[in-house]
Amino acid sequence: MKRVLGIVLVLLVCLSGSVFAQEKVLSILCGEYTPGHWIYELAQQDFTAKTGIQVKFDFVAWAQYTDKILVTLSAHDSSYDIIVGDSQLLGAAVSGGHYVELTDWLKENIAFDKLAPRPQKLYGEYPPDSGRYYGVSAVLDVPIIAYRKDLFEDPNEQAAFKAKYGYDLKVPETWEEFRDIAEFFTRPEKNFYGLAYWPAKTFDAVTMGFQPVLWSFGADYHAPGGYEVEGYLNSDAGVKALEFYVGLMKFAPPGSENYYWNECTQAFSQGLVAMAFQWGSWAEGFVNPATNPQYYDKVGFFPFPGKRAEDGTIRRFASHGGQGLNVVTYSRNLDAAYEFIKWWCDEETQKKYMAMGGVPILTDLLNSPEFLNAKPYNKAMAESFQYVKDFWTIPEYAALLEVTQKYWSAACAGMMSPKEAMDAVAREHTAILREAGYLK
Amino acid sequence: MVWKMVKGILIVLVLIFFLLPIYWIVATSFKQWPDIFAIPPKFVFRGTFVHYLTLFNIRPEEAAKFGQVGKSLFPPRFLNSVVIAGISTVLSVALGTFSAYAFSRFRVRGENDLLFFILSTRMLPPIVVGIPFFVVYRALGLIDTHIGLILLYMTFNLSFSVWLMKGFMDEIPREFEEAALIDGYTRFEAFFKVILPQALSGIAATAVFCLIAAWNEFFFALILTSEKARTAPPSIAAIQGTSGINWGQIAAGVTVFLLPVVVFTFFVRKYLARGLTFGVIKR
Amino acid sequence: MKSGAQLYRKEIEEYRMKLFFIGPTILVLIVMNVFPLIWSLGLSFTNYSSLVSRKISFVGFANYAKILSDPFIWKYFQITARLVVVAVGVEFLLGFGLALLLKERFRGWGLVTTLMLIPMMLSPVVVGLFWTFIMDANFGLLNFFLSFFGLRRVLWLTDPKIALYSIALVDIWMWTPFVMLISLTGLLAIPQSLYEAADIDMASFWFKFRRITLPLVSPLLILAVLFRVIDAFKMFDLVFIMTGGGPGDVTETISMSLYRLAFNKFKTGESCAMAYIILILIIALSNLLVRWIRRTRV
Repeated sequence: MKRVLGIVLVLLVCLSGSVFAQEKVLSILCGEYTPGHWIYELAQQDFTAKTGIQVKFDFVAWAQYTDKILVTLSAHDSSYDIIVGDSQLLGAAVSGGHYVELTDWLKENIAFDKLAPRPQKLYGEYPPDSGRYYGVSAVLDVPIIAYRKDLFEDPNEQAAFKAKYGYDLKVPETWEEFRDIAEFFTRPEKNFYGLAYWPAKTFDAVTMGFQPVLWSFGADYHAPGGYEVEGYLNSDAGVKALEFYVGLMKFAPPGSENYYWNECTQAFSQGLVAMAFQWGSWAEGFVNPATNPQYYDKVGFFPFPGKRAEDGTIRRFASHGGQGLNVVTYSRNLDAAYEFIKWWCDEETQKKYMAMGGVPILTDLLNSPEFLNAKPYNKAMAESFQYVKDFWTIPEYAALLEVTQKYWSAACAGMMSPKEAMDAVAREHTAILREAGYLK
Repeated sequence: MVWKMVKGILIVLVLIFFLLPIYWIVATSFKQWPDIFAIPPKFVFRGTFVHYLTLFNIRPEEAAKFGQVGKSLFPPRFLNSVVIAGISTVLSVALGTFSAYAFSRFRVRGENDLLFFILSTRMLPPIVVGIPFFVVYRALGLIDTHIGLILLYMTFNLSFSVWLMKGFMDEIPREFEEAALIDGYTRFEAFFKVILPQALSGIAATAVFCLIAAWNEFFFALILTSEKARTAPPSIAAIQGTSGINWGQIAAGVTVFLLPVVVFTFFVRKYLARGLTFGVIKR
Repeated sequence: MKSGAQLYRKEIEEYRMKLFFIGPTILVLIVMNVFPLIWSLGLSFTNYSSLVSRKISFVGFANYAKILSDPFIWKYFQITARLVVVAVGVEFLLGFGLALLLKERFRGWGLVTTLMLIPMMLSPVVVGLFWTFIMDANFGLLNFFLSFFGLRRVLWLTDPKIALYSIALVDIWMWTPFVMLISLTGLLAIPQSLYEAADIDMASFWFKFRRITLPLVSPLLILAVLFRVIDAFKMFDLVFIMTGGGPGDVTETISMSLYRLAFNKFKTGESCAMAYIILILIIALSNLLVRWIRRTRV
């Protein structure tokens, strides 16, 4: 009798447990930005209506975003089922076993071939080129440059520019043109400057801003296919690239050595600058009449310029940003999480997301005229996606990033020469790579 | 006379230094977006309540313009802050006062070491203990609970509370409770009826500091909670719109969040002033 | 003469009181602190990486050796020390000076003292955000005032020579009220009768200050400094938000560096070792101050 009672009790407990688990609320951790809000809104309207699964988003300020992810994952916590995770974190999180491998599931359950392949590799694949996926693209992001259309199209400005530089004032294709335009619009007496860009130490600012210049000037972080740094990063081309980037400081507002994304939008919306660097996911702030009341209809966007090669083609690059959807290993809601990813990769969902202003993750939509015309900055973004190249992706990336941030921001602030900065970065990168066993 | 004037001017200057940034925050909370970054800064502007209205979900459509989706989470999180900071302050001040009295009056074996141990709990950088706290809390089921944060903040403030209260207790002459003991009070009665009223000014000062620390704690509030027990500071810092920091709304959040502490401090001031009177009786 | 039984009863009562009054505090601190302390001490001898490793292996004192031999860490310690000395030094002088100024009551005294405390009622994150805004070279309030008085604009947060002191300025703004309030409470507790007695002896202002005010208020004053030193040493939010340690590494404090180690590079073991090195330094520093307090108590 007692045993029967015991079994009944255990069963009851199990049942109540499973009933509890069936009350489905999908919990998602996300950085605080506009695309995140779009996904949240869409999920509430569409996903919940279709599946009956409630969705809960925890938006965390970017300054604390990694802290939060790091603590929950290292403690094997089940509070979040999906993390809208930085691609930079992918390597570390996969090595630690915190993300669920999706390779087989993706191929069986969604139209995998329709996903734009390059972003999918960057946001989901680890190790690179292994064919193993731990996520799907969520927020595709790339830096672009905003400019004051009204000034670029002003006949007086155009005439003055032509007189001074001997060619037409238009959207720049090469870094040299970009520099000329920045110089042209720099008018300190009117408190107006050529550009607001990213020389800051905060986050990854100066690295994300400078590396496209580095690559287009023909230098790289390391030897092709290897880990040798000395002589590649601090080659003549590398030093020239940093000299160029630091030189742009002359055309930026005084005291803008600490600018990153927020500051660039503020400077632009106050009419302080003619051009500004910005991540695509924050570009909405330029065209929103509420946040940029004076110039929201006078903004144009173009991709990062490049360097003209000997054959006349322009070699351009763009930094890689954005986040993927990653399923957390410790989730107690795996079914709902899979359901969400399935929904997210669906063409219908992506069309709706695109209509809200988001960047779709499917090849067809990414090339469609609907997307290119949905937002003023979409064309520049779509073009930039072709040029995307990433910083180091090995798990030691953070240590390497700390070094580049330190020396390149110091160079921008005039604390050391570009040559010294490049040599110091090369020296410390070599030491880090050697300690980690990549170099002998 | 001259000294009085100099003193007056000095006080005014100091007030300006401390209050101008505060004024700037409060003013920002009433400014329309373009006025916030105006060059030169605007001291006179057409005010708006829109940031407060969106903060309390009275005009959500205005928030949508800046890219905010769904409800502002400020009201429930503000309530959480009141409950968590309030209770933890009461607890840490109470525990601190008791211990301080005992340390101050009795011979405690290893007193200096114990006191130093209490102090040293404040010294480890919180960043490193984040993960272990999380691990313990998850094992105890305290993640995202009010009790969890209350316990934590109480602990954080204890060292401060004990040390500060001991400073005040040492100042209260022993003759006080000795007289009470002769009058037939027990030790406990003497403490509660004679010493405690004398220590009120110290208790008030300690409570102000503990409340402020618990009220503004950020890091653990973020990592140890996800929804139910999240306090206001992490969500104030996360108020962002399409173009980054939504200064107006953050300023509104800060202003509302500041008010309770200012009011509390203002009322408690009366007790702080008691220091004057009891000083006269002393020794 | 008290009887033996009475004495015994008194002892029991005292013992019970000690137990009831101190016990809970110690218990709470042990329960809440000991696990994290042991956990991080244990990890400081391993190569554990919170996000990356699945296995932990013991590395002895390698982490400590690595940190202590890193030339940059010493540089960051120096930067931190400079920040602490400047910020706490000014807070000490200014806070105590203010307390002296506010010692005698006047009309609106309560309001003035309350208003003065507002800066420390804000969260450091908010303070960092808004001061960045106020110190902005172009839109900022501070430069507006400078230009109003015909002065050149200052690049508060981006000039390598100034940035560290700008952070100190914000810390001073935020925490001077703390020192002020504690010293004020101490000042108010000084018996008026002592001054009256000194007045009868025709003592000078300076004599009264040195022989009455300073000795009586100094235990509390040093206590305020002690807590400021401990907290300023760990200062993180202000630096993180205002400069991120830059430009270059001129504002890279030791806690910024610790943060990078723990949360960007995920080197949990190393970061625990570094935390313990910091802990030992703070303990040494506090010990000096605590001894000083005890001496003033005699």
